[in-house]
Amino acid sequence: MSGGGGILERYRSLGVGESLLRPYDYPWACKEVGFILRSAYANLPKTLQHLLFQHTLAAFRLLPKVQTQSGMAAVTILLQAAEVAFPKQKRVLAVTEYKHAVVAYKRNCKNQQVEEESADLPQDILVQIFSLLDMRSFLTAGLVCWSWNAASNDEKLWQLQYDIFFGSSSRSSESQAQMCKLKVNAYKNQSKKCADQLVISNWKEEFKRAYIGWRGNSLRISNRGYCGHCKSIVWLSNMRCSSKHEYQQIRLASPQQVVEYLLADSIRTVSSSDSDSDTDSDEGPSYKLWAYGKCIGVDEVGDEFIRTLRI
Amino acid sequence: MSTKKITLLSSDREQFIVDEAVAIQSQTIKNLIEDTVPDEDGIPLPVVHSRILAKVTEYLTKHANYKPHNDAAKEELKNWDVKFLGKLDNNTLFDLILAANYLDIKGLLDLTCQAVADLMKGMSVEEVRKLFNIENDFTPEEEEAVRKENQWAFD
Repeated sequence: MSGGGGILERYRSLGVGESLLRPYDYPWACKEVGFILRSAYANLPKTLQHLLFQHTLAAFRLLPKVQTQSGMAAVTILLQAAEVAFPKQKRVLAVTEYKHAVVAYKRNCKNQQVEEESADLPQDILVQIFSLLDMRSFLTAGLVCWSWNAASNDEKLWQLQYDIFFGSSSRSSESQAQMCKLKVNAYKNQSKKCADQLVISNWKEEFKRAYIGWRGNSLRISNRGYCGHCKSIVWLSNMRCSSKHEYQQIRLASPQQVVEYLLADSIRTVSSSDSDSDTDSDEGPSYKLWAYGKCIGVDEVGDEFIRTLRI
Repeated sequence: MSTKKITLLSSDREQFIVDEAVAIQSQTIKNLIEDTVPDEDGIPLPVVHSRILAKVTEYLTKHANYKPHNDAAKEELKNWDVKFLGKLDNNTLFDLILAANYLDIKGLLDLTCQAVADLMKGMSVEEVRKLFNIENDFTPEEEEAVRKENQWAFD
């Protein structure tokens, strides 16, 4: 097993501290610290234990700044983990910090001033903003009101999501055949000018179908991934790493895999989206993945991943 | 060197005098300069308030005078953008999006849209409504129906 220096380095490379400062990554970072505390704290070197303690306190202190429900929920999970993992003295300090933060959070909830004028953004701008969000965030935004709902169902948006997840080049032959058929029909029925737009008439449905199939044998959507290009665990935004490398370079990483990366003692490859169907059970497919880790074929990216872990 | 000055006129009739090179980064202003006889007071921009036009010209001036040639310079410009956004309250940010859209300034539109997207990420429906001060025009039944329709993405 590697020494304290290596593990500390790896923890730093995860960038947990900085991500606590970004409201949109904050909940994920809280949960990740919580997960590390729960599953590995006792076995970590003292320096890293200390750093995790500091980050826990920082997470609590930042809650009133983040001031979102998802932040509040994540902090609760972190507190539970802290209560299990920390020795008494640290636990008391953490709980005190948590209580202060929650009081401040609740006070802010009451005091939030109502903005006077509403921002009435035109549809094309809404669609542009939504295209910068991950799918769940813009589907949530679609529940705000009817006009936002219309924007969240925009065809271009779903076509983009389709490309992000499945890549326009990596269509299955079946759906390609289907597309050709559609195209032919479209040419038959419509003027040539409209045909291109009619190739797929409902991108949301098309995406949904592909997504459900894809999710069946891969990890749940996660905000963490291994970027083959950056060669490290990165935060994802819309299935891209912060350096904007595309989905093709990304393998999703579960919290367990992040901890494995940190500990770097038992190495497994991250499942690719097109891996075998052994893992389609409903109960925590990622756990099962780990159990079978050594049996899973190691693709090129996997090799790189392992090499990084061994450094 | 061209130092031709352009006068822009905000909706509240305040004048902003900028270099032509600064102004024509806005496609709309560029078209207005080419296609219209200028008003005596300047080019009227009837939908942009002086409060917002001040921000727009601040952005355009920085970006016109600063053509990054290497990574360090690009990084500096990026940092400037971050600081520029940091100084805006939410209402100004929304107004700036509308102005960037009307004036057709792609860089500013991308920047402000990204800022709003970052604000919204991970927020609950209620929080987004509050942020934008939008009234919920769904009935509870309709809202539930839409929620159900999209459930597949959250399972």
